Amino acid sequence: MIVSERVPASRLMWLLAGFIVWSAAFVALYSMLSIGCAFGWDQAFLGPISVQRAVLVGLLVISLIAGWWVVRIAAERRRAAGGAGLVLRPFIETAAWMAAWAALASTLFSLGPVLFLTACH
Amino acid sequence: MATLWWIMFWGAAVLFVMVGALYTLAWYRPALLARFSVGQWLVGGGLVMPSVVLVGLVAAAFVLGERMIPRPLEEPPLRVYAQAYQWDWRFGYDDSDATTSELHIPAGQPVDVVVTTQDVIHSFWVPRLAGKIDAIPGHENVLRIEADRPGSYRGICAEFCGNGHTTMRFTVVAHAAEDYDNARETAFAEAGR
Amino acid sequence: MSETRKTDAVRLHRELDEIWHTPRGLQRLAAVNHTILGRRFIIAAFVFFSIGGILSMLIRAQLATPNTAFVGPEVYNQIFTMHGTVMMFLFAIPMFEGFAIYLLPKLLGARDLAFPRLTALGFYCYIFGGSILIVAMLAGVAPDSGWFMYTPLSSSTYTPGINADVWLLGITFVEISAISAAVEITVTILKMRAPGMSLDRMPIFAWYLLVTAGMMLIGFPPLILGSILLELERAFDLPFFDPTRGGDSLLWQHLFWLFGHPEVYIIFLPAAGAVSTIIPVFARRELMGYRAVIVAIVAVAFLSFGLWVHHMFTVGIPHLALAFFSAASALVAIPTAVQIFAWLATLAHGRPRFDVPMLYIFGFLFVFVLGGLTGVMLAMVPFNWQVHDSYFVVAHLHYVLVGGFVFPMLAAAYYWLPHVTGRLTMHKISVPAFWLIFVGFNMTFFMMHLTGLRGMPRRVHTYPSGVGWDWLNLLSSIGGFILTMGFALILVDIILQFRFGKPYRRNPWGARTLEWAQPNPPPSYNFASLPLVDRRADTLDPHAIGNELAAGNGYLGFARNGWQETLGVDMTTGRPDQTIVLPNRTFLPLYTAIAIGLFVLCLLFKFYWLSLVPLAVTLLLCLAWTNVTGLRHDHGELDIGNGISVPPHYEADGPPSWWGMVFLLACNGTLYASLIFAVFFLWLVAPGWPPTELIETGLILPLMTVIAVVGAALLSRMAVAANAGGGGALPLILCAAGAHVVTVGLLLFLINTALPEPTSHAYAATAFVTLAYTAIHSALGIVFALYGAWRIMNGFVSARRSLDLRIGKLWHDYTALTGVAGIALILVMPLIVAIQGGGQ
Repeated sequence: MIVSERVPASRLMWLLAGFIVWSAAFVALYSMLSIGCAFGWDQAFLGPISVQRAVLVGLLVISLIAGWWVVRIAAERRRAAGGAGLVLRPFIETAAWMAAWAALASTLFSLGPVLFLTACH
Repeated sequence: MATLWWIMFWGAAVLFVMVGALYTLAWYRPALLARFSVGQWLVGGGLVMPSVVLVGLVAAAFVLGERMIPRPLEEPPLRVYAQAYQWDWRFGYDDSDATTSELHIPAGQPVDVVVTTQDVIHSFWVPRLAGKIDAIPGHENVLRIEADRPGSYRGICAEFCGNGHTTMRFTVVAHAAEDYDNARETAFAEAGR
Repeated sequence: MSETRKTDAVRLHRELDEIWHTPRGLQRLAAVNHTILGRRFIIAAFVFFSIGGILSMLIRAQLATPNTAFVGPEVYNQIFTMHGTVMMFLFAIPMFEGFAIYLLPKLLGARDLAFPRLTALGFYCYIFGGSILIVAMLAGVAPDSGWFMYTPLSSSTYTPGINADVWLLGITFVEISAISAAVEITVTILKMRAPGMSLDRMPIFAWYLLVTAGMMLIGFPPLILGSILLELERAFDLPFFDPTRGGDSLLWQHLFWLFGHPEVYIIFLPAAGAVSTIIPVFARRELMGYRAVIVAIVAVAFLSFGLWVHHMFTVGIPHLALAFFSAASALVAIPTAVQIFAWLATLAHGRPRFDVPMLYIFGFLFVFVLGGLTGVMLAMVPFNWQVHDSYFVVAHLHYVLVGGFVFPMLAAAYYWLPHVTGRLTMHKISVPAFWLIFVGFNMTFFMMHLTGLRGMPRRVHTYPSGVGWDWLNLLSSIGGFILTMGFALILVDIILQFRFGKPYRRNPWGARTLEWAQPNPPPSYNFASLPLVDRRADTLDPHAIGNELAAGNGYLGFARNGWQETLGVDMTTGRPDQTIVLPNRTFLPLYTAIAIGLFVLCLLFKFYWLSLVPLAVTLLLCLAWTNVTGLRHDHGELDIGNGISVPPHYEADGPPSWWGMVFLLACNGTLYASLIFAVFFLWLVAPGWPPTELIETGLILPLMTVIAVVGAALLSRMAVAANAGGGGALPLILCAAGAHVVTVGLLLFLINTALPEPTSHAYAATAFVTLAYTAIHSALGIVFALYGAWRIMNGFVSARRSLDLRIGKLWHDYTALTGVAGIALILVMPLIVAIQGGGQ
């Protein structure tokens, strides 16, 4: 009748996927920071950098890779859905792609400080 | 700190005037602004402009914040102890008795205040010396303060702590470094009398 | 309109109104209609707003001059605590709920919300919970620990009276309405739109409400958990927050602000949704950047959960951790800027026209942008250390909340009041009222930035003269009274509009959304027939649509079986997939709320054993709700008009009640996750760890518990499968009930034998709560399973009508999942505790 094709509701989850990665990264870094400080990881060193820093930077890199992966998939789905346009099919896919980019940038911006700030004071 | 405030103040003023001016134009001369597409407004005004401002501001605040951290120094600073209770402050020193409501420190050098509480949460704040730090039951927090010159500095409890919150004031007295010990002894004697 | 069409329309109106209307007299208390309940929510919220306003006047009277002896600290502490509590919990949230409840079905083209009786229950819970707080205040025993109730000040040692219990129990009671509204809004938006209204055509206001409701489902549970834990500590001495026994007062702060910060955006987003709806109407252009705005609000929703610690910058957390929250707090300005520029572009690309709502929108922009800018300042850690807990923060939060909520809500009130009253606004009073509010507000709160920068801390009941705060406070107080006069004028204006406003026929603003396709005031059934939406729902022609719908030319343009029917659609595409039969008016929500209220009062006055009676009554009443739901035989496909047939929702795949349970469990899961967070937080941060006594369960009992609770879930799944295959579900579902009985028994045995005394240490206390959580869920699992069996025996269940069993299945699955997680936690914790002493 009104709409020709079916769009599964699970497609909506892709609108959230990028920021779910951001949330997971945020929780992971915040809790590992607290755990590391409680266990004195900032006093133990792996070569020039502390264990604490290594763990946090490692988690940040993993988060960025995961976020980038979501961006790639979102971009692929958007292309498959026909690129631009405001009808339902590319609409959700495009919004998901924009949200994935926003989430990736947010991850870098809000968690990037692990690269240079003092960890446990 | 003051620099950060003035940067933020003028930055905020400029942004506020800019948004105001844009909306005024949109109202009276929409055609002028309609030359830019929606996408250009959203990307330029919504994304790029605030991103640039925020990256700069956050970076500056991080650098400043790093400087204020009470990190270990080569020559460990003097440690004093502030214990809050409903509704006053008891100040302790490594080498002598405690004082109430009055903290004595040497001027011209950093001092670490170890802040604790014996009952509810309080907050140690001497506006002219540093930011504030909360006194949390079961935890020890350290705040580094430094008085540039001798004198009396007003301090207050900044976290609501019950009926006596309003009057839970104290004073930090900074003495010239060379008379610090004597001045403190005198103060103890006076307080004890 | 021809004569026959007119008579058709009148006949249809009579038939539908007969089914949907709410009679007068005492029957009003049985109302479940969203228009009526939305109005009641708004009126009640306005009454609480007035109470909060009077309290703020008392505050300003006290602080107008230094050394005032008007009230002492004992009273003043109650006044400011109640001001904050009333404004946040009894005004802002319910006010937006009221707007949503009133508007949502009308915007979406539905006849009511998904769960009308739940709307009514939420309303009564709100009124009763709010009344407990107000009565306590009049009795002089109001909460007095500040609206965020920091422990240990709010614990029984330092607040031995009933004051803090009033807050914890009263507010949790009110939160029932917030959770039920959140579930209801989510399900309604996803499932109950007009046919053809795919997600990309949804009015932007619905997007805002969808995101907001989702945030409420995740944001409120931490506070509810915190309140339950604190009440358990106060009532039964379980030491979650007591630092001498392994608890930590910081846990409360985390739980509170984990709720508290998203809360600010939960309040702001619906208001911004109103702005995004109103600006396009007066710009005479649909909203520009529709998709970007949707992405922006999704971003805000997530980011707002990553900045709660900026309320805790001074508690002694490492700088790097502060930096995460500082950056996220700054970051949230960007999606807000996207919205501000989308509104700007809408005006620029339109032909702006002035009317009263736009005046209030101007006030919103002015005040809110200032509040946002000070918000970015406060997000900067070094600055925050200086002004935290000073009047600068008081100024900021009022700029954000009044700017971000009250001004847009006033704009919304002037915009939608004609819809409620069927009469037009008169300009004469609304304009001076605006200027009084605008000038009064800025005078009051702009000064507070300065008093704050001059070092005045918040929550002091008086201040010495001569430190530079005198004239600023006096100006604030004068401004406050000007502000109040403005609100008084608004009240007068609204009353005048009801009495003397000029009636109009339809769509006074030239809006292009569905709610204006109704006659105003709206009829009880909303739409005589439901529209087909074939374009973005903010570019419609309400006049043409209105006439067509009134004549019954849309879907469901008839009365059938005395049913209250509306359509359910596919979530994304808006294709109709079921006809939803809504329950009729009933007193059950009122009775249930009274029972819950008695339970709360029993707890408040510490009649713990007696409290089991109203609790049991509540459970029985909840079962009674199902009396009128369900069908005893298969109906198959039903005609909904225009040649389309869909099944009734009892026979559909994803009916509202199934989705309602999904979202309720998501909310519940957040509560459980908060509990697990609390366990690990205490282990890591609290002083006084490790505990001296650990749990010794062995492996056998926990394993048996796991088998029993998972078994219950599997049996219920088998029952659903058997039912789909044509029968034999009854013995399986009874076995599932049995498995739950075994689970409860095992858990009670574990709690009684293996657990150290829960009052001895926070470790034991959290373990107790974890096990009790599963025991309670399993006990309710018995109820669900037996209810399923009862429905099977009474012929409500068939292969096509399996809803009762499938909802039960969700519950059993959830119980199994959380039960296994809980048992695992209990087993793992002693090992984790052994790794490190934790704490300091």
